[in-house]
Amino acid sequence: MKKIRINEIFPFIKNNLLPIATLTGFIIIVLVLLIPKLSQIFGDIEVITQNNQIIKEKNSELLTLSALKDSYPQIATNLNLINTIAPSGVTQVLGFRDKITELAETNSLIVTSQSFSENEIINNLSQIYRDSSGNVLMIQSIPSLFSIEGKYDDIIRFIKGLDLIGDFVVIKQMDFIVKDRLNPLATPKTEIRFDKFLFNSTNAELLRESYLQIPSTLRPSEEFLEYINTRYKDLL
Amino acid sequence: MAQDKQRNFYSFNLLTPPTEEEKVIAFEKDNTVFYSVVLIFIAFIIFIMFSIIHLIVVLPKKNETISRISKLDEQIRTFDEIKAQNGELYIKSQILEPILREDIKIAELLDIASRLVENINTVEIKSYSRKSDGDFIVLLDMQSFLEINKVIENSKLIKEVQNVFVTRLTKNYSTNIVEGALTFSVVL
Repeated sequence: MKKIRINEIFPFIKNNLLPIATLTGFIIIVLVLLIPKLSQIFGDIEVITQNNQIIKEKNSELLTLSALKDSYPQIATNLNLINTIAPSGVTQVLGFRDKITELAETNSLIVTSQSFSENEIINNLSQIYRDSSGNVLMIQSIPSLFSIEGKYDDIIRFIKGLDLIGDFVVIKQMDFIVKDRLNPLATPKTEIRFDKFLFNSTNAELLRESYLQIPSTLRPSEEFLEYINTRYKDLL
Repeated sequence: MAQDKQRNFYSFNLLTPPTEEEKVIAFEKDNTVFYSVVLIFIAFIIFIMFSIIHLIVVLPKKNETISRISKLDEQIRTFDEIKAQNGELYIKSQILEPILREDIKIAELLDIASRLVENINTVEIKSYSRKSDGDFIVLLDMQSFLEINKVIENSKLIKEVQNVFVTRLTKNYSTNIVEGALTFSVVL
């Protein structure tokens, strides 16, 4: 049996095994330590870039909010007006009927008939706002039909006075007979369909969260605000 | 056998085979071990350098941006009340605006109708109504058929009035009154 001498094996290890072992070690260090560290660094740089973008957006939002703060009194006034003319939660059917009747009587008119549809009050949800979380704000309409008789000028005054009753009322249909051919002496009469609108929500707390989600850059239509401010100026 | 081959190889080579002494010197001069250690060491050094860069430069910057974001969030939260009110106003106005367009705007209609018969003393408005398609109908009483032309002339002067049609023109011979029906749309 041939005796193995260390002096003969060492050059073999040095010349053949050591380079392979070193290269393997180097590759292992690169794979296990360097690449994960580099990807961590690049990942963090990506996060920094994204954060910088978020900071930019939040700074711009802050500027918008500061500007919004300046117009806060106007926002509060407009919102108060909307909440007065189209309140939330209560149907106020009787109150609305009384207001119309009172307005007619004030203008020396006679209410010959009036009708409300209870079914429509419950089912007629003309528009629903639903946010991404499923929170719902509904607008409920209360349609009513009034037949009114009286002098032409009184009817005109009554119609103009509708803006003063303080309700968000839309007139969708009207027949106004000033003169009856078969009975020329008959008093003018009108049949008007009013739709009063109310807001309703499923969860007031969640709804507030929905309001907060609206970007502060969004503004209500100037035309709409101008309209309600003109129409309901007496309520301001 | 292999030794024989080597011997044969050298037997044809002009160079003399290295002596044992030369072999030792060549072995001692070989730096494989040194370079192996250096390679591994350099890999570690690079790793440590990256770790230091990560720790000193990248991480503090990342933490700084995170803390800036939370500070900004805090500042933004102070505006929550204004933001909520603006959101509420925006949503409610978005809902109410289309409803408002359904309003027939009676006051404006009455005003427009009276302008249609302005300066025509012999024409009287008998009734006002609105069709389901949104068009308005005004019934008029006149002394003669020709008076409807004056009403149409007047309608041309009112910019809000469009698509004017005379849909009916009849004469009641017992009263000698001509009844006309005028249909038009209003753009406010």
